Amino acid sequence: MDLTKTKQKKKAAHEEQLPWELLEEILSRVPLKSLVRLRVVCKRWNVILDDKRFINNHKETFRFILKTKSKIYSVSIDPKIVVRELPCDIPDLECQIPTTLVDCDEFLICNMDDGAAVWNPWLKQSTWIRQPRFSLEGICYNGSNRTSDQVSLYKTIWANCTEWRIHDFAFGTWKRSNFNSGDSNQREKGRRKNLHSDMSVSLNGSLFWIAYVDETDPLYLLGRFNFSKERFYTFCYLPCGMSHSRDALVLRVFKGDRFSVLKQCYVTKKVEIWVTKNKVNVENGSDVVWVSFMTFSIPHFPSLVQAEPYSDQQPSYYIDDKRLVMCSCDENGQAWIYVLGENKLISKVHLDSVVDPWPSHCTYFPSLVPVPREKDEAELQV
Amino acid sequence: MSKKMIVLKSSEGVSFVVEEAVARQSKIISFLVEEFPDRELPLTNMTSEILRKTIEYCKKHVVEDDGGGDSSSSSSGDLKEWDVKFVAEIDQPRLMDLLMAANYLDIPSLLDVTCQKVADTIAACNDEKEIRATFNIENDFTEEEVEAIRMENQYPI
Repeated sequence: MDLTKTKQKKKAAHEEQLPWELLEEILSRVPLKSLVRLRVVCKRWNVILDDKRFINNHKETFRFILKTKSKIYSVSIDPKIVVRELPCDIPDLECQIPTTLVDCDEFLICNMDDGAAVWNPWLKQSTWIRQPRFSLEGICYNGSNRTSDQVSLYKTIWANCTEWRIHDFAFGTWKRSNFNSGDSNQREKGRRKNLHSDMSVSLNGSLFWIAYVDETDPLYLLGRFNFSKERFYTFCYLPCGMSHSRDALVLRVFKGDRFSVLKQCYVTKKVEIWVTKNKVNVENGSDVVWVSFMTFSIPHFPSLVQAEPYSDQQPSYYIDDKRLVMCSCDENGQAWIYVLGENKLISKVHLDSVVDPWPSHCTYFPSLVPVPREKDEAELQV
Repeated sequence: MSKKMIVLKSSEGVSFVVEEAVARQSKIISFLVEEFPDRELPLTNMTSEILRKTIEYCKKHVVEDDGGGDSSSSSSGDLKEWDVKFVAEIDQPRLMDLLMAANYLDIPSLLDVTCQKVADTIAACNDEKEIRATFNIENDFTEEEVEAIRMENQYPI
């Protein structure tokens, strides 16, 4: 009853190539600051560092970002909830705390008074874009895959109350956009859309927002900004609308290529999640089918959207297999993490190390994707 | 607690008599002891040296875990210190063997400390050449490929 088959002339274990899962175990314990330079050790290591699953399992990974008036925190969820202060070492911001901080794809967008920074906190990289009086609403990758030549194929979209502008990283150019609806069908044409929240969601090179024509619409819609046409289109309808101003309604990417929508009814406190049944084709929203994914009717569950003036802050959430993990502030402005599954509340944890009340929060899964930068003039002339 | 003993045999055929509670920290041995009680367990891919080290680790941990119910925080701190010293005294090739042994025998805490030690060693290397030399890794990149990866990931200051 040997535990292994004896090989003749067996090599010592350290002379054999380390199994993949053990290499992942080791690399997931390498501190962040040393991680990116491991890419050039060998091809195998580089492949592991490109793997999102590896990054998501890294010991220092996190899931939420919280921002108070003076500090930024990261929150890890598994195996236990850990709050760490995230050094705001964005060179361009000179240690100022951004006015707003939102996640868009692999990056964090830090809006400041006279511009915004695109930040990757893991790589400690950032790019500052100056644009006073506008806020950066989203960043989008416009190519099919990321290779070294295409790093600048990013575009960002900016807004103030009257105007939209598009910034092209490749050329450092700006374009005005009137953000008119490009809808051509009779039903949507000429119907003016309002954005439900400024927070955009990036999927396959397009940005999406929840929008509506009238606040009382029974079904809200999903608007898509098409960067190549520079127009806003109605992509599809959502499975729900808002029946109360304190309903929660949040759009997220699900499983990398689908959408999910979370709604909490303010009156019943019931939380519902819908997901798109199939992979989303960003060019055609007409065949999007929403299916109910999870429903939670938990007695005495709190409201996820608070009263004015904090009613803009929607809950942040992600779906992990059969679990829903949410971050939300209570009526006193204290941040909580709720983990729900199988129609019940699995845990709720008060983030008491976040001292200042009413932090803003977003989900953010760290990445090793380099921050895009504008090509300098010398490069452009080549 | 019963002091039942079991026998583990290394690849060189050396027998180690170990308390069952000590050996049971390995989930694999725990399983085998139940399936095949009263038989010695040959571990043909573990040298005596690595098996001795593994048993040393398990002995230390079983004593601490068994120390009168709730172990105080200082003793768990001491244990951590002991772990650090334990892996610090092992040279690199043997550390990898011990890591593989921890994986093979399924001893999660030993796997954790050995992986952490290897990760710290990687982080302490000055450059990729030192990492390759330390871990005996072949460079399968061309110079151009390395340059392209550097260009993509390193941000000009």
